[in-house]
Amino acid sequence: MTHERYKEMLAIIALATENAREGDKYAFAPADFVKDFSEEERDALDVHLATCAECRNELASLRDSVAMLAHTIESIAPSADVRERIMARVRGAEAGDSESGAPTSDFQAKENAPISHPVSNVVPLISGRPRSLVETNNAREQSAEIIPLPTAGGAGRVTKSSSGWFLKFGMLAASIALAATIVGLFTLWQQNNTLNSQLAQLNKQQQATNDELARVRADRDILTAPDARTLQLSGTSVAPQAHANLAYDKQTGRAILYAVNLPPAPTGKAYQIWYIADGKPLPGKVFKADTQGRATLRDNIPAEGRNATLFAVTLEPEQGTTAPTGEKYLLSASL
Amino acid sequence: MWKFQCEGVTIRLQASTSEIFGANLENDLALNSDNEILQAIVRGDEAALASLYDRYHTILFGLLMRILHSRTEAEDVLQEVFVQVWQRASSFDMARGRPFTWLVTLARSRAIDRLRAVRSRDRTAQAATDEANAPQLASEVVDPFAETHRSEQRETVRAALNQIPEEQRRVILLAYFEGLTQTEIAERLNEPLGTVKTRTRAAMFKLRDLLSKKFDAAAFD
Repeated sequence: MTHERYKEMLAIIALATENAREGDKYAFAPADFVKDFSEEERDALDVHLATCAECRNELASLRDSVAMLAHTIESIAPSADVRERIMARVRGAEAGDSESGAPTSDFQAKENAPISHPVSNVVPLISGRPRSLVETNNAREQSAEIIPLPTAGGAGRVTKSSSGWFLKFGMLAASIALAATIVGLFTLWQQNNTLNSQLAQLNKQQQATNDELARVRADRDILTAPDARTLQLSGTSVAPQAHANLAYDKQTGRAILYAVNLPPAPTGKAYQIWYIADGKPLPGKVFKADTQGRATLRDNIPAEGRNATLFAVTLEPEQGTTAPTGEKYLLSASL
Repeated sequence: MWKFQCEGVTIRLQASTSEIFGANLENDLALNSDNEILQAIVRGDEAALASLYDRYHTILFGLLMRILHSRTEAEDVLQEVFVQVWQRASSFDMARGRPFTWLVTLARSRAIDRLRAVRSRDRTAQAATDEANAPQLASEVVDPFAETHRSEQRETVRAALNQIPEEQRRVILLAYFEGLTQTEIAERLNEPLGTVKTRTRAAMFKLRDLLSKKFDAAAFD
């Protein structure tokens, strides 16, 4: 067959659905394909695609074009519990894998994602448990120098005075060894406490890092959501240098606001964000700026506020209000 | 009613994310491309699967509803698709198309498998189910003011489709939404198989050429 003929076949393959069965004969051709071409054609194309990068790229681009036809359909939201059902099935499948002994996704995650590997899994280097007196005595016996007593009839007959000297020397040596052991144990115990304290601190830092990473990922999810919107809020006359960026996901309502150059809020006051939809301001969370005038706010826009055409930040009582009462500090353009 | 007034400040609308959040964010955003998400799924990251679901569930569900005309069946298939994504993410091959292409292909394939199984059931019962489900379609349509990017894509693809002659368009839509083979389309339209294949080829290449002019590679995702 000619190369052009192969390309013509690709247009039809690209439309076909994917194999549901494993181990089908044709690596590139879905099951339905077999009904439209002869076995000779199918075999020839299969061999050709294995060796022709141009045709593989052509097939990929045709498949991408076909996939775009999905965009001609209006998006529809399934029931809210479908997501949870999927995740439950996935977790159930993982549990099944772990029972069978096969590597689980958690195992793979821990293996391949160093950040998620908790420091708390690290085994403490030293147990450092002080020994009991019995154990100490046993240790003394084991560490004491053992002097064999010579036999009674030999040249090395031990006299009473020399045996006493040996005993005293042995006891002294044992005492020194005991003292050294106690000091050593105490030192190890102190080091263990220090290490445990450092470990606890590292765990805390690790948790903070993980929390921050989770927040960053959540922020990225907002920015990359299909329904993401971003807009700017400018300072009003009371805060002309102030400025903010707001990003939110119209579908989930998750929102994040980054503000700069906000004047410090007086005692008992805080800034509050408002989502104005159909002329009605809906209250968001309250927040405060740091000493440099910067603030980050993460909020969930109520459903009725996700079509908001205007966004604003005002100064309100610290606990927030249900309707705006204070000066406007930041204002968006009307959408 | 509390009214807002603009107070003569300069306001910019809808600046790009890199302008707003800094150039590094463009690189950061790239890390959450579909490929990155799939790689995370291969590593067993459940949150990545959830993220992929959040990104595409409405468009896939819309497609499934269009093919199956049954909410129950469509939700079943949607679950099946994402469980398959979880199980088969490691087998995804970039050389065969983009992640979105793979998702849509999985969804179409499972839906058409289900459609063929459903076709063998009592048609009266199926029609009653369709009628019961149909009124819910309108109420579940995503906010019409939302999805500016997706609605632009939708209009672009529809415009491209409208530029394809009607007899060519019909054959690819029959194959796409009903899973008919070329032989089955020829039987349905009472046309020669060769004619159907010729129209299919012409439609596919024209669609690909029209879409490649409208979208660059990055915008396909």
